[in-house]
Formats: sequence, structure tokens, C-alpha cells
Amino acid sequence: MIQLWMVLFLSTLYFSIGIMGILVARGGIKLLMSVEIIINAANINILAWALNINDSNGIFFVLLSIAIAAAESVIGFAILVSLHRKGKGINLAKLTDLRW
Amino acid sequence: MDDILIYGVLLLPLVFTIIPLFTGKYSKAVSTALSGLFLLYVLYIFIIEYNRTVYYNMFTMMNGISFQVLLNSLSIPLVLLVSLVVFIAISYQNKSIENSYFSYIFFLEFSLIGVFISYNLIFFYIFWELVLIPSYFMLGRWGGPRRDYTSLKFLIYTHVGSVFMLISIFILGWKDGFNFSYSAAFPAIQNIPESLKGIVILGFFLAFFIKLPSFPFHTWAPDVYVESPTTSSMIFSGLLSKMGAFGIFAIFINKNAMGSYLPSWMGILMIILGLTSIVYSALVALAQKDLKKMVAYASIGHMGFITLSAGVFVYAMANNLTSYMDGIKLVLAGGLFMIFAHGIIIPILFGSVGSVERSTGTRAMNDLGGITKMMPNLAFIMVGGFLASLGLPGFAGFISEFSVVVGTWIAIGFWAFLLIFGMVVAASYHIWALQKTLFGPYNNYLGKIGDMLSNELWPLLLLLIIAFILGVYPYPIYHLFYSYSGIIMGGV
Amino acid sequence: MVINSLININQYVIAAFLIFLVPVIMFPLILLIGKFSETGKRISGILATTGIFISFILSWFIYSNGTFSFNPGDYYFNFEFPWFGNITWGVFVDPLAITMALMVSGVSFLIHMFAIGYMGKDPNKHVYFAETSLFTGGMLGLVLSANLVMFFLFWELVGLCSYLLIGFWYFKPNAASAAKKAFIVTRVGDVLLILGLAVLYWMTFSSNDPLSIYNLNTQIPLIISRMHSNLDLAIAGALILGGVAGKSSQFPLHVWIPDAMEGPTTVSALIHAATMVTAGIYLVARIYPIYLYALPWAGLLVLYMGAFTAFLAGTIGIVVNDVKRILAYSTISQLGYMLAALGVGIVLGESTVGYSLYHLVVHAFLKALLFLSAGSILFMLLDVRDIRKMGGLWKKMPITISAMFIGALTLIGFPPLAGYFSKDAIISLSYYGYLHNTALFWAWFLLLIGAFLTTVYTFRMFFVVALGKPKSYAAENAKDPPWVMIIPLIVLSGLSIIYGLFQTDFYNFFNGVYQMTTMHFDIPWYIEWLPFILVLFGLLVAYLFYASYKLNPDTVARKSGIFYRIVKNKYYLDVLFTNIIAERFMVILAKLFYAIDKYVVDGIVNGVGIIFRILSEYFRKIQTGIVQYYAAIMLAGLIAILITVFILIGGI
Repeated sequence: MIQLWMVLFLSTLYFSIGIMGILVARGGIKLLMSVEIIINAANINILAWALNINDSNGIFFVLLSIAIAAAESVIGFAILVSLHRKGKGINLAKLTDLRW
Repeated sequence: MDDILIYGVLLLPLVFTIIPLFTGKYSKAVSTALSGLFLLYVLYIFIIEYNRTVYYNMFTMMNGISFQVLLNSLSIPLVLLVSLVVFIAISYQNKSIENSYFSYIFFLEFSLIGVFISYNLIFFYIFWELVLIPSYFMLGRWGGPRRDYTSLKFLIYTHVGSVFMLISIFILGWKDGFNFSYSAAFPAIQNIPESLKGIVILGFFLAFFIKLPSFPFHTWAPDVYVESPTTSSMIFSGLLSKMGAFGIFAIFINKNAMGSYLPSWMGILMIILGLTSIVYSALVALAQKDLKKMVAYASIGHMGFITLSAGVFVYAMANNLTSYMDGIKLVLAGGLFMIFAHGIIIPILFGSVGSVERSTGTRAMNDLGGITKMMPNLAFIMVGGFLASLGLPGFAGFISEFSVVVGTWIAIGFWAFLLIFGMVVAASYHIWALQKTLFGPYNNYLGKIGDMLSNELWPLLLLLIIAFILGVYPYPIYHLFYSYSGIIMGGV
Repeated sequence: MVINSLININQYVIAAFLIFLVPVIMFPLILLIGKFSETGKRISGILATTGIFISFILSWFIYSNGTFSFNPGDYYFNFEFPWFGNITWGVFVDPLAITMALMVSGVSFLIHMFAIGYMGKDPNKHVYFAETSLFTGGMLGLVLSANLVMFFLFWELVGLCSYLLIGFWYFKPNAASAAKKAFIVTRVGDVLLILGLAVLYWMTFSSNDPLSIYNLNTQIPLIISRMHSNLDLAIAGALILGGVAGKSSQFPLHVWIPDAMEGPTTVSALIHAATMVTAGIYLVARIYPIYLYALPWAGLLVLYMGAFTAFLAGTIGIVVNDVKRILAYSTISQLGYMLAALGVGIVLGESTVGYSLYHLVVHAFLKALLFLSAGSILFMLLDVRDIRKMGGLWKKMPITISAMFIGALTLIGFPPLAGYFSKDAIISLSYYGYLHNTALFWAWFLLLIGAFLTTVYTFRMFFVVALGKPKSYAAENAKDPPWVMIIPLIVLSGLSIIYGLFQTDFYNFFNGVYQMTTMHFDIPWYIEWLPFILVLFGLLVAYLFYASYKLNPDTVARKSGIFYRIVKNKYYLDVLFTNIIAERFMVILAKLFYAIDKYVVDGIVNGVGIIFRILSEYFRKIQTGIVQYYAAIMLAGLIAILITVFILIGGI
């Protein structure tokens, strides 16, 4: 039987991986993926608790969250694509046009 | 019926905001027509609601923050002034400017009217800040060579004052269960600790006196008035400064709002600030070589009379001159009337200076001279405007200056000599400027120049006539302010 | 709503309003038709003259209707409307007002008629006539005002017209700067007057028409008894006297009138001799109870300001060479006489108002006459104003110079012309006052010397202009002007000659106001004749110096050295006001304040901005723009906070 703590552990694991990804990623794609992982971690967390207390609100909220995550990643990719087209690459540390 | 009219007062300018964008090359004509119709509409309200108070709750956002509207004997004339000056400015504007300029003007009109009719501090604040947006763009996009510096200075300077006011508003509202209505928020001052009370008063003080502008917070004004295009100068000096004056009379010294809670030295402080504004701006104006900058300082000087009249009232309250209240009422009405008089007179000055600049290409007094020969119509308007501005009887300005001088005597006695010194210097620089620009031999380096265009002449002539009519028959406006000064004194 | 009217509205009230409204309405009318048609330009003078003639007829209508019986409470009417606040406006008519109205409209009518000829060739004459018409309306409104605030409105309106008309030939730099000077100097007086009105306002504010002239004339004793102090009244009187000094050009604010002679001569005659400058005298007479009931120093101030000015202006008049300026200084001096006569009233009672006003009316006739004849001369001599370039004109233009001769004799007070009855009466009056109060001695003395000086400068001018040989080409070819300019001269000459007959009637008409009888002075006969003896002596002096040239004025001037220089430089008052105060002191003060504004007040504002900018230069470096750093720091912070919280609440 899958216990609640297992799912929560999975969620925490995902979350940590995502945070780690954000901290170490150099490329934009990896960063976006890390963000997605973190959102998924949160979704899993919410889902686990929703099933635990039998509240369908949580399930729908997760659906909403997924939709928003999709929209967000679309915007993120759009930015990266246009950056790439400008020939600046997508290495985040090197994008310093607006700095200082 | 009443509420529909009030919706119209506020929302019509908002609707007008988008119209000029879609009218192509006719946008000036359309805007003129719209603002003219709106002026007639406000005039209609002015007549049917004459000397009445209309209160209306437009909608409730949340408990305590609802859009309450109050039209009374102060706000109706101010709304009339706004629509009049906007109409004059749009008619004056030449049509070569981009369409969005007219949109900004209408948006400014919308926000100004919002400031004058809100009866809820949150909405008052929202409109107060909303005014900055169109003004920033009008200045930043169409301004003179130093427009970047000036527009930023204007935005930050006036915004600093507003932020302090926001703090005060929050303190007031929180203390009384999130009710920001004027009638609920101000009595809450009694319940707050002494230290916070000081902050509340300081916040409003800064916001109003920066916006007025009063010495020593006036330095944004000359820059803004000088760098703006002519029509923007007319609106900024004629209307923006009225927000500060409105705040002072409707909130700061009003016994129904904050007036009862002011410290006793506030009267003296305001009298000092007012006197200093008058004398100081007159002297600084005397040193100006740029005609437009001189007019800007003249505008600051007029605002000194408003501070002075409010200060006399606060002083009289603090020093218990209750047996003089009949006369103090005249003084307050004089200060209030200055709002209207200045709003009418100062656009004439900026308008005529703008015409001089357009026609001759310069504003430096030393480069001009004897242009009456080439511009007789301009000479007529400019002499009229300048004389009205220096407080000559027969023009609206005199009515208020006389009332205020009367009050100064009872408050400060022989210190009033400072005031009349300021008035003499004011007369001197006005006359000096007239002599240097209009009279004397014609400066032939200017070549052959044309007179005012008809779109410049008629609006200014209309204002001059109104200033004259209000100078000999001030009753329609003055009576409202006279009864409003009873409200300031604590009446209902 | 009508406040405090003693009568219902009737034809006399309407007539009183029309007296000043007709010329005022003429202003836009003439301006517009003159601007848009050539015919309008041509008939503008006739229109203005007609308007003023209507005013004169209406004044006469009120004067002759018999309302002025000598019953108290019946001889005047007062009609007021609310104006602003509790200030009212309206008309107040009494013998004083109607006398002034008749004088102003009559003299103005004659001068306008003269101006039809004098200004005939000016391309902007419609503007001229519109402005003089407005001026006359303003002056008539001033004399009929029921309230001091309304009075002040017209007071400034006439000042404005004076400003515009002095600068009528705006392209002349002298005219433009004289207009500026006139406006600013009178403005100094006017703001003092406003302050005086403020003081008065607080004495009467509780009544329903504060500052109304009716109120001030009837209520002052009541107010004094209520306030237990007449200090405020004296302060008000002194401040109002400041306004009088500006408008009626009394020392030390007399400096603008001589410069104002740059305007057309008809303007000088109308505004700066006959009517506007008498407004100050009229004001003091109008609110005379203030001086009567105030502390005595207010009245003495009136007296000595007048007497000293009469003397001072007389001395300057002797050394000036510009024909119009001689007349200007003469005007200042004569206004001093009128003011002094009012000042004597604090000792002798209010009936001295009649003496002052009688001199005012006579002076209006004779000074208009002198200015108009000077105007005829300038008209024929193409605006040469230096008397040393004239000479021998009596043969060339006999009618004009004869008129001038009559004017000059009237001015010096030669019996039996009108001036004798008006001016010598004032000198005798002051001596009679001295018998009651020794403080008046020097006033009498100054006025007496003034009479001598008047004779000298008047006949110096007259002899140099009329006798001898023509000293310029223009003077050789002079001849009498056209009839339209001659008729006013003849009328005014006639008035100057016969007006002395009405002396007693005038005083009686006037004293009806104050229910007093005309005074009879009880002074020694030699004092009474002393002014005339001095006049004869002055004539002799003028004859010896300027007609027979037995004595040379230049030698005397050289010998008197420093005195001559001081007088020639007008006691350095012009230098003090224009060069030192206006051009040095004020300019430096203004520059100083501008520097403070720019570098201190605005400097602080910009300084705050700069400080924030410098700080941000450092702090912005923290923002590297690399998101991972932010995230890492955020995470570290979060962990730190969590650990702190757990330790503090002792969790885990």
C-alpha cells in the first residue's frame, strides 16, 4: 500500500531536484525544466493531501496549476527562442544587456 | 436624475479619452467640440445644482472603501473650472500635434474631476495619483529641451508628497475599521496617539503644499511650467495646483475634516509660508529674463494668497478671534476665490507668452521689444492678462487679493507690510515685462512677424472676458465660496 | 436686493448710474467701430465727446433737481447692491460728489473737444478716445461710488487709463518708461490704500455694508465710542494717505507726474492736472470724519504733507525748462494746497473741505486752460517742449497766449480772478488755524512761500514763452490753432475769470453736507494781504529776470552753487527712487533671491536626488542579473530564517 509519507517524500525529492537544477543550471532550457519539476512537486504534494482528506477541490486546483505551468513554460520558451534568434545564445549568465 | 448627471461628470471625460485616437486629422476639431459640449454640460449642472450639496454612493468596492461622490459649493465650481480650462487649452492647441495629446488631456480632466468630487480618501488618493500619469506623458513627450529632467523631477517630487499622504490615509482608515469615507476617517484622529497624529498631519501637509506649490516646495513648478508645451502649461498651472488648494480647503483646514486637530502653531506657519511665497516669488520673478519663467513664478505668488488665507483662518481659530468670524469668512472666501480667479487668469498669461514664442521664436525679454506694432491683438490680450495677474481691480484676481489683505491685517498687523511689498514687486515685474516686450521701439531683428492666430486669440479673449466679468460681478462664484467658508468653519 | 438705500429707485438713481456708465460703455464701442472702419476712426472723437456731454447733462440734472435742500438726511442719496461677501456697491450722491461729477464731466468734455483737433492726425486716435472715455467714466464712477472697495476699483481703473495713455505713443522709449514709472509709483500708494481699507474694514465689518461711504460718514463717532481707541483710525488714515500721496502725487511719491508729461498734452490736461490727480484730495474729503476723529497726528500728517509738497514742488518748478513739466510741478504744488486745506480741518472743523474743493475746482479750470494752451503751442511747434526754444509767441498766436495769460494770472491768485479767492483763502485759513493751534505755523509759512514760488515759476514760463524774440524756426512760423481747439480755451478762460463770483455760494452749497455755516476768519488785515504782496513781489522778480533781463538767472544759479544743483536734480528723489532703489537695490535683491532659489532651495531638492543616485551606484552592483545567485541567496536566507524560528520556538 502506498502511504501518504511515500508520496510526500517523492514530492520533496522532486522539489529538491528542481531547486538543485535551478541553482546549477547554466542553460535556459534546463532552468525551465527545473521550474516545471518544482511545480510538479507542488502538484504532487497537493494531490496527495487532497486524496488524503478526500477533497476534490485540490484535484481541480492541480489541473489549474498544470494549465498555468504550461502557459508559463510557453512564455519562457518563447523568450528563449527569441533570444536564440538574436544570436545571443541561451546561457543565462551571459545575458547581461540590461545589467547596470 | 442626479446620479446620472454625476456619472456623466466623471465618466464622459473617460469616454472622450479614446475618441481622439480614432478621428485622424479631425481630432483637434472633435476634441474641441467634445470639451465644449462637456463644458456646457457642467454649466448645466452648475446652474441646476447651484449652492446645493449632492451626495451619492456610486459603488461599494469593499466595506469602508466605496466610491462616494460629493458635489458641493466647492467642488462644483472647481469642476466647472476644470472643464473651462480644458476647453480653452484644447481650442488653443494647434492641430499639428499627435492625436494622443488630446487623449491625455481628457484623461487628465477625468482624474482631476475625480479628485474634486471623491468623498472617500482611497479614491481621492487614487485620482490624485492618476493625475500624474497623463501629466508625465504630456510633459515628457511634448516638452522643451529639458523635458527628461523636468518630467522625472515633477513625478518624483509630487509623488513623494503623495506617498506621505497615503501613510496618513492608512493610519486614519485603520483606526476606524477600514472606513475611508471623509465622514468616518477624520473623526478617527481623536483616537490615535499624539505621535501618530503628527505624522497624519505632516503627510497631508506635504502632499498639499507640494502640489500647491508653496515655498519651499515650489521648485518643481517653474521647471514644469517652462518646459511644458503652452497648452500643458495652461492646464498644469491652471488646474494641477488647484488640487493642492482643494486639499487645503476641503481637508486640511476644514473643521469638518482635519481643521479641528491642527496644532496651534500651524496658523503661524501657514501665514509665514504664504507671505514668503508671495514676496519670494515676486523677487525671483523680477530677476527672470525668460518671460515664461516669470509667469511661472507669478503663478507661485498667487498660490501664496491661498496659503495666507487658510493660515489666517487657522490662526484665528487657534487664537480665538471668534468675534471676528464675519470678517474671517470674507478672507476664506477670498482664498477660495483665488482658486477660480487664478485658474482663469494664469492660462491667459501662458497663452499669450506661448503666442509670443510661436510668432517671434524667442521668450527672452531682452530679445523682444515693441511687438505691439506687429501684434496689436496680442498686446491687448497680454496687457489684459498681466494686469489681471497683478491684481488690478476689475479683474477676478483683485476680489480675492483684497479679501486676503483684509485678513492679513487682523492676523499679523504691521507684518502685512511684507505682503504689500510683495504686491508692489509683483506689479513691478509685470509692468516691467510689458514694457520690455510690448512697448518701446520695435526690435527690427525680429523681422516681419504675424499676429496671434485665431485659434489662439478667441480662447484667451473668452478667458479675459470671464476674468473681467468675475471681477465686476463675482457673485455667482463668490457666493458659493462664501457659503463654503461657512462649511470650513464647521457648519454643515 | 437693495441694502440701506435712503430712497427707492427713481430717475435720479438711474441718472447717477448712467453718469459713469455711458462713457464706460463708449470704450468698447469706440474701440470696435474704430478698429473695423475708417469712418469710425474719424467720428471716434465726436462719439467720446458726446458720451461725456451726456454725463455732464445727467450730472446737471441731478444737481438742479432740488434734492439738495439743506434738510439733513434729505440732501443725498445712497443706493447699494451686494457685491461680494458683505461688500456692497452702488452710488452715493451728495454735494461733494455732484460737484466733482460736474467738474469732471465738464472739464473732460472741453478737453475732449480740444482733443478732436489735437489728436486729429493720429492713426490710432480711436484707441485714444476710447481710453480717455473709459478714463472719464472711471473718474465719474470714482466720485459717485457708495463703497470704498468700489471706489478703489475705479481708483485703479483711472490709474490704468493713466498708464495706458501716458504710454499711448508706446514706440517712444521715454513714454513707455514713464508709463511704467507712473504705474509702479502709484501702485506703491495703492497697496498702502488697500491696507488702510483693511484696517477700516475691521472697524466696520459687523455692519451689513462695511466700508460703505455712507457708513463711514455717519458711523465713525459711534465706532470710536465703541472701541475706546482712535489709534486704529489714525493708522487707517495714515495708510490711506499713502494712497493719496501716490495718486495725487504728494511728497515723496510725486516723482511720476513730471515723467508722465511724455503722453499727449490733452492727457496731461485731463488726467494729470484736472481730474485724476484730484482723486486723492477727493478721497480725503470723502472720508473726512476718519481724520476728524482720529488721533490728531493723522490730520497733521495730511496738513504737512500738503504744505511741504506745495513748497517743494514750487522750488523745482523754477528750474525746469520743459513747459509741460513746469505745469506738472505747478499741479503738484497746488494739490499740496488742497491737501493742506483739508489738514487744517482738524483744528477748524470739517467746513475746510469746502475751501479745499473750491480750490480743486478752480485749479481744474485754470490748469486745464494752461495745459490746453501749452498743448496748442506744442501742436503748432511740432512738439518742441523746451521753453528756451519758444519766445515771442504772443504776437504769433494771440488767442492762445492770451488764454495762457489768464490761466497764469489765475494760478498765481491775482485778484479778482478765481485763483485769488481760492488760494489766498487757503493761506488765510491756515493762519486762522495757527491762531487756534501753534502746530500749524510752519504749514502757513510753507504755503505762503509757496504762493511766492508759484508766481515766479508761472511767470518765468509765461515771459519766456510769450515775450522776446522767437528762438527757433518753428516758433517763428507759429499761428493760432483751429477753432475746435480755441473754443475750449475761451470757455475755460471765462470760467477762470468769473468763477470767483461763486465763492460764497460754493462754500454754502458744500457746508450743507456738514450743516455748518461758512467761516469768517478773524485775522489781521496785513496777514490777509500778505500773499498778494508776495505775488506782486514774485511778479517783479520774474519780470526782472525773464522779461527785461535786468538780472541774469544764470549768474544767480552759478552763485547759489550747491542749492541750485540740489533743486535742479529734484532733490535727488528721482535718483534715489529710480537709480538706487529700483535699478540697484531691487535688482540686486532679486538676483540674490533667484540665486537662493536656484542653488539653495532647488539645490536641496536636486541634492537629495543626487545622493540617492550615488547610493544606487553602489547598491545596484548587488543585482548581478544572474537568477541562480538570487535563488541561492534566497534559499540560504530561507533556511536561516527557518532555523532561527525553530530555535526560538524550540521546535523539532
